[in-house]
Amino acid sequence: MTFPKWGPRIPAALFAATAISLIGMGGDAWAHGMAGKDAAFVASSTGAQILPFFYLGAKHMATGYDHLLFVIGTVFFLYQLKHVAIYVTTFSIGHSITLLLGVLGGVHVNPYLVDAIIGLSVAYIAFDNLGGFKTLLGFQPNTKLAILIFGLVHGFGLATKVQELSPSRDGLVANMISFNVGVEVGQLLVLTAALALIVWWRKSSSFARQAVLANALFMTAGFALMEYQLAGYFTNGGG
Amino acid sequence: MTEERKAPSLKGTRLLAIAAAAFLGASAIFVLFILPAEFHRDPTGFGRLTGLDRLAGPEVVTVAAAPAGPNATARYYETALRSDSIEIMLPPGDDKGELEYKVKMRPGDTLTYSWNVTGDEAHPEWFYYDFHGESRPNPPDAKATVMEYKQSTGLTSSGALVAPFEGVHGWYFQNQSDKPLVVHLRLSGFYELVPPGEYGNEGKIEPQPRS
Repeated sequence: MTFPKWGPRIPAALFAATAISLIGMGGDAWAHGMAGKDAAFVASSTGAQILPFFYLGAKHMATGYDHLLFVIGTVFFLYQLKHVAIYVTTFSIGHSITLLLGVLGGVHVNPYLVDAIIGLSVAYIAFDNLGGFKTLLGFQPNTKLAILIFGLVHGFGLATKVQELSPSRDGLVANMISFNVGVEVGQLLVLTAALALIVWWRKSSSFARQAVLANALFMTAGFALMEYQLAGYFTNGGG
Repeated sequence: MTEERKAPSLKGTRLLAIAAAAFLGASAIFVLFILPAEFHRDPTGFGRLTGLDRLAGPEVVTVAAAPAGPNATARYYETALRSDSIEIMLPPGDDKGELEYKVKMRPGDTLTYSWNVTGDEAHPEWFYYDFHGESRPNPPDAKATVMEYKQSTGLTSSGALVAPFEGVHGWYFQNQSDKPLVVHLRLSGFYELVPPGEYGNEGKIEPQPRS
């Protein structure tokens, strides 16, 4: 960089700006679900609607800061594309299983508790990123296994959002597969952009220090989401 | 840490401080912002101080509506709402100055009404009315049912009725003044008019033509 003084901070600032705008894109930012005309579409459509459901899946993921924080946290310290692919695929397998199982199999789980665990998963991955378990507890729980398990929970989170809208049984399998593929594509798009930013950021001399701060903020966001959803659970009940 | 990830290594105390700060920071956001803005809970008063608590809107208490039956809160009818205007002439004198005008209703049928009397505005006490419902005896030797709603004097009345039983429901009007009076009655709701001359409309009153 040719900006000696503040140049190295640009990637960090861009990253922060992107993260904030992602949260803003959520619309009803804190209660991330489908709303407005998207919800009306799902509730009223019957039969196979491949492209609309694909788009909704991609949109839901690309504007779903809770899922995105987790994915970005997962790849934050991965330096090889191969490893990124393995970790993200593990997450995708996990959430695809429960998304399809939840909606097609009619498995209902409490959305508040699921979203609380999704918040916890963000804090977990950030803590793990900083070597928290190994340093403080003396052992390293298998990260890929944790990502798979949290992936299952995220899938239930996706499923509850779709289930709330009572989609028609007619064409549901095709629609849910389209939705699921859309989720993966949306995730890939945002992940690509996030990775590009992170790779650039890593070149900065202050990355190491800022990375600790970033993960501390991820942890903060995760805990806040968890507490928010738990409050929803205790206020609005287990229903 | 798995070997693929190249994370900075931190000392245990630093790590603990970061995790604690993250949790405390999150809890501060939760207590100061999320609770007042989303849940109507403001343990610190920060929500009131900053106006954040207004984001949550009024707290909603859902109460149950009375179910179907005579006390049902919401009622539904097969027919469309009807509205009628009726003018009733009441000349002075004992034999012509009184009349009953009623409409047919089934249990749960609803009407709203408004009437006023013109012709002798100076003496509201000279106009008497009896708002009531009755059912014809069936078979003819059985007892008839009468329910009184209101007996009073005055030149105007407005209200609503949910019919308690099947029958005719309406008014006995009596002109006690020495001038000709006109009752202007407006009805809206779910009921049937009684054809002129039949039970409930012995005075052969015709509704005003619809405008």
